[in-house]
Amino acid sequence: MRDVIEVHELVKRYGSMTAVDGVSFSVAEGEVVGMLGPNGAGKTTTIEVLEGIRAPTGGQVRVLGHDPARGGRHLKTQVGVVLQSAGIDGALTVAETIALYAGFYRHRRPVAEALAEVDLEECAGRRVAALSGGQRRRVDLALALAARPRVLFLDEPTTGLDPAARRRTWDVIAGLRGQGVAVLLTSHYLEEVQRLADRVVVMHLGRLVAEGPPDRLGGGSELASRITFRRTFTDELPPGPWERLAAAGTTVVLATEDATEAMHALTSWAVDRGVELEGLELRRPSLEDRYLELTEGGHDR
Amino acid sequence: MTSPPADADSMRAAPGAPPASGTSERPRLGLALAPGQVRYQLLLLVRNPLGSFITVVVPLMLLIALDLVTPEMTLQSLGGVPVVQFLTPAMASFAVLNAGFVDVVVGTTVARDQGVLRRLHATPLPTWALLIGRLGASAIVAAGSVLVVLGVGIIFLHAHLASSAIPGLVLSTTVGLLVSFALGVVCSTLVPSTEAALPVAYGLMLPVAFISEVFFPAPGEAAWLRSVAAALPVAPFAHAMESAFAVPPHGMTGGQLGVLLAWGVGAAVVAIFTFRWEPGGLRRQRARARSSLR
Repeated sequence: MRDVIEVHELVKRYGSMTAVDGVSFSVAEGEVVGMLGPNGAGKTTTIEVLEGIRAPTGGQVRVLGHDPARGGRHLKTQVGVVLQSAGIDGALTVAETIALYAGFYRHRRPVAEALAEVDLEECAGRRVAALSGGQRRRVDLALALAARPRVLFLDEPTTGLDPAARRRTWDVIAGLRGQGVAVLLTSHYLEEVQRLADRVVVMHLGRLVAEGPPDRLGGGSELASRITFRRTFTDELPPGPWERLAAAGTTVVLATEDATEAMHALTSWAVDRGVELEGLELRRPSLEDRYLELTEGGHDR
Repeated sequence: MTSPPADADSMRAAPGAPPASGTSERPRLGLALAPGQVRYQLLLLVRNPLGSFITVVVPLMLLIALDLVTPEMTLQSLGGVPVVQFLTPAMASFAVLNAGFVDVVVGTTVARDQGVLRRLHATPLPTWALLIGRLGASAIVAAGSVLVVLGVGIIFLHAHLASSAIPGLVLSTTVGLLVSFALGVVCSTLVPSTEAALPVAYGLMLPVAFISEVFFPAPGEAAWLRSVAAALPVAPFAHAMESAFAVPPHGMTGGQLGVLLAWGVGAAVVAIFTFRWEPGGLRRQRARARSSLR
């Protein structure tokens, strides 16, 4: 697949503040890349540079082979955008709004199809001002899809949506991937990124601190599985292929990169000693575990 | 991590790359988008009670009220004509100023402050098509307001308009609207927020309108104030409108046209370089970016 979004050593400064500091990644056709990071990590600034709203201080960005700041109408015709903060005129109805935006494109999605895509058929004649925050977010997504874009920038597209609407939006985004659309998505919902993204980039304090598939994010020791149980015995644990992590109360958490051997050693020891490992559980670290590890420790500048 | 991206041309030539400019990717002609913008702006105006009130009701109300409090009065400074001969074109010019300046300042500022312009900027809509749409809607509203004011003045208040004066009146209205619009766009870039839009617009327009004799003739006005007013765009426009109702009627003078064109062209040039889609000024945008990093 051809890369259609390319970011190389992107730097964006506001005066003495560095919002984005040497970030590089790419997104291919038909690929969904999730961008994670705490508030102030530089995600929105990166997306706004890619949308051509802000000029980079350094580095290079290309969208469909064009500099976004100079791509002009030709590039905008092929790019759909859901901005984190942008307005829609409240005085227009939902259908009028979609028709207005769809009218900017030569090959546009029919209004009825765009409404159906985001489950807003029943709101077609309602003024935007009368919609809930979640419904407005869905109108925003419908506007981004009106263009039948080749590249889609989604900056927190499901913020404010109820769980059903969020899942419906996920289906829409997954469908776009099938159509070859490249999607760059930011979100605070890790489940959303885990579910949708082929790859994840994690930003922290303006830097890219990890990149990879959601289930293998981080690499190295971060891949360790967790064994947890409650300690109801006084015996010391034997040495084994694990590292004991800090945990509250009687809970014991062991990190291991060899789960089979560790479980075998632990349960054999418990059977030999006749102790019960209450609530014994083996689980792979979740995306949330890895995300918190990346953004809360060891990567501060 | 990625290697540095190739330039656009080499990427287009890459094997397997989709064509960068196929038929489906060609943007629509900008001119084709302008009518949609006119309709969009008209819908907003019709559905916004404040906009309709400012552009149509206020000038009409003032016309009727000022005529009621000056019954049988004549204006010696204008050759002894009934006061309605002055009030009717004066309120028509006030309607044009409201539609072309006040409403443009308020509407553009609100759209910018609420992020509507930001959203539109992410689409292939060219800046000039947005502005033509806005101008078209203002022109329709201004024409409607002028017709209502003139209609009420002529039919119910017995103002007289010679048919020979109509072309001059149309020219004055058109030039006045274009200049007001250009100044309105420029002014909107200086307004920091939605809350400030109406006070700033009227705060600029009303004092100039007063010294420009839009609401009543001021023959005793100080010479220096008269000179200041003559150099500003409102007086030449209002006087040109009023001259169509003078006895005998006459059109816009070369001097009036010159002042208006200077303001109009100057404002248009400034508007081209200062128009912005993003809310707030550069200082406010930087402050917002900084606060998001904390």
